Amino acid sequence: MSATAIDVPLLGAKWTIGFTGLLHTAVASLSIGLAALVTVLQIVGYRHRDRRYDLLARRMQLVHVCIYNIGTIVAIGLIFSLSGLFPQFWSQLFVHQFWTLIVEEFIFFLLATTVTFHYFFWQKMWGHKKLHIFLGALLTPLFLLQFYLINGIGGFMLTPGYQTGQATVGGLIDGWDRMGFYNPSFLMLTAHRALANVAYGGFTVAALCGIMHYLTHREKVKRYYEDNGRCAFYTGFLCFLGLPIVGYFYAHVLKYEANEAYVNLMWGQGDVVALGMDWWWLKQLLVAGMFGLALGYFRDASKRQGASFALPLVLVWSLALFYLLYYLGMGMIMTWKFFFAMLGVAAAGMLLAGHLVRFHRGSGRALFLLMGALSFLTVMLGGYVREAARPRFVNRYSHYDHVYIPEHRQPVLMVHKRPEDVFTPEELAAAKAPPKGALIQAGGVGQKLLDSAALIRVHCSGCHTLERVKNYRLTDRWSLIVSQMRAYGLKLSNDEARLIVEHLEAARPY
Amino acid sequence: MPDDNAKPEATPPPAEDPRLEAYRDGVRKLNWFVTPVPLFKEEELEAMFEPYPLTKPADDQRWVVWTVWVWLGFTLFSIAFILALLVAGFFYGGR
Repeated sequence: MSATAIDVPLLGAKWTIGFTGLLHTAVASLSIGLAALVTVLQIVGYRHRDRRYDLLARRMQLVHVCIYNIGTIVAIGLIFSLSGLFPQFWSQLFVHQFWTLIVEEFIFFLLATTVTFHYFFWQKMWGHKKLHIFLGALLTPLFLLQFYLINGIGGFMLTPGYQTGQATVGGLIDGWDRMGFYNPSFLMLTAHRALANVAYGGFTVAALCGIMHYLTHREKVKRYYEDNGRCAFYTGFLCFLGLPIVGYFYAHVLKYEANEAYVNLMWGQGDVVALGMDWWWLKQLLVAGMFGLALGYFRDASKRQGASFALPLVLVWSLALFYLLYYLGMGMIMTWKFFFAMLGVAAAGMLLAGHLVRFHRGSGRALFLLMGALSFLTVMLGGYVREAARPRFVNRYSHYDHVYIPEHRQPVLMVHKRPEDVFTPEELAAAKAPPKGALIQAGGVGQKLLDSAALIRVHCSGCHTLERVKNYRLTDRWSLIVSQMRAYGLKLSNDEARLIVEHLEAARPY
Repeated sequence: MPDDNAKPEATPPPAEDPRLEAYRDGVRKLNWFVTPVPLFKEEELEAMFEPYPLTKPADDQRWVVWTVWVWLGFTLFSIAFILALLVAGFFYGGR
């Protein structure tokens, strides 16, 4: 195709972005989690006048300073790579949300200075300890604000929320797209990332404490790592428990606003499948294992403290029940076989937690380490599948070129080329053709789908698995069945119902 | 009347090791540069567990406290400004 595109030897353009993006996810997410954890440890230390928590907080803040620098440098690498390898895409995005990105850059500056002051003034402010803790606590809302902004853009890349005719670009303020920023999924993405990052940070700090517990010999120092590790672990677990609640609504938004990505996530697209299993479902298995491990540890630790009916315990078990309901809900999409496999993995994790704590004479160090590793893996898998599920770039042109055609912006873009200058007419036709199952007409929730296979996937899987449709034997009664579903509450227009019935009667694939 | 809940003063770390003296000196001066306790020496780490070394506000160096107050003010103002931009951008930013 294009002779003008830069390529990266061996790795290729796509994987260069993939690797850089994943590295940035690994480091930046940890940075956000560490900021919150440092504040938690500092507050616990101050309230109990126990310096052990404050000491670990200071060490973690040092790690954070290093991690933050690495994360920022990788982000710059990502920007450079995008600019060179996907110039059309990046120019579009930058022009589209110029002011958003500039404000985000300013928050980078605030974060870097605040974390530096906080760490280097640690020993100089024992007379103003509360002020010092407040300074560190400011990092968390700053981080939240920062990824609130970047999620406006990330969310837009997945759920633009409108099509050409409705774009805000060209409104009162150039470089700010109101409708693009406040897109359908940005709030759920932000909430999900906030909880996930603190969980990741908590489990990582606990894992570091676990490693140090192995390496120390003095009883008091072991106690220091054990107590700090438990504090970090519980903080992580608390956020971890909130994830399925947010995750459910996030998936719900994707289902209606980014149907192609949703289908890619749930059913895979062939290129994200390994060992016969989609990466996303592998992540769900790991999450189930983590859930069992954490619950097992919590139960064990509560028993040791004789707090079998304490309020926190009741709350955690209630949330655990909600977790189960969530996965039952997911059972509508995954197969029941997979659902029971996940239950099995969770139960095995619970048993393993008990064994690990007993084997290590009451210490959670092995469990902390295991959870840290699993947490890292799930963050990586989650980040990867989200990007891989996104509708594909076609020949370096972003998927939503047909959403926002920047012709009137060409004079201010760095790449003075139109698709027609680069591609053959055939390539162009292929690139502009809507992918199978894509939304054809705009209009937000309730968009009209003309692809009957997509209609079946979206509407039937709202209440049950597609396997139930495929295994249904009375195949001469599809009209009746669809009528029954409409009576149960399925919202379909007459045209849509007719398309579905025709598709099913013809026994075409979906 | 003495406070029964008050935490007892912890005994200072033993003075045999000259490095501990350097540590105490650092705490007295509250100077980050003079607290060069290596991170992974177990006995030294253990010696730092007690006490929680709160001091009087007047003991802190004034330039440090002023720097932090000024920085907090600037940061809080910036956050408020950005939030105002986001709200204004929602209502007035484009069609």
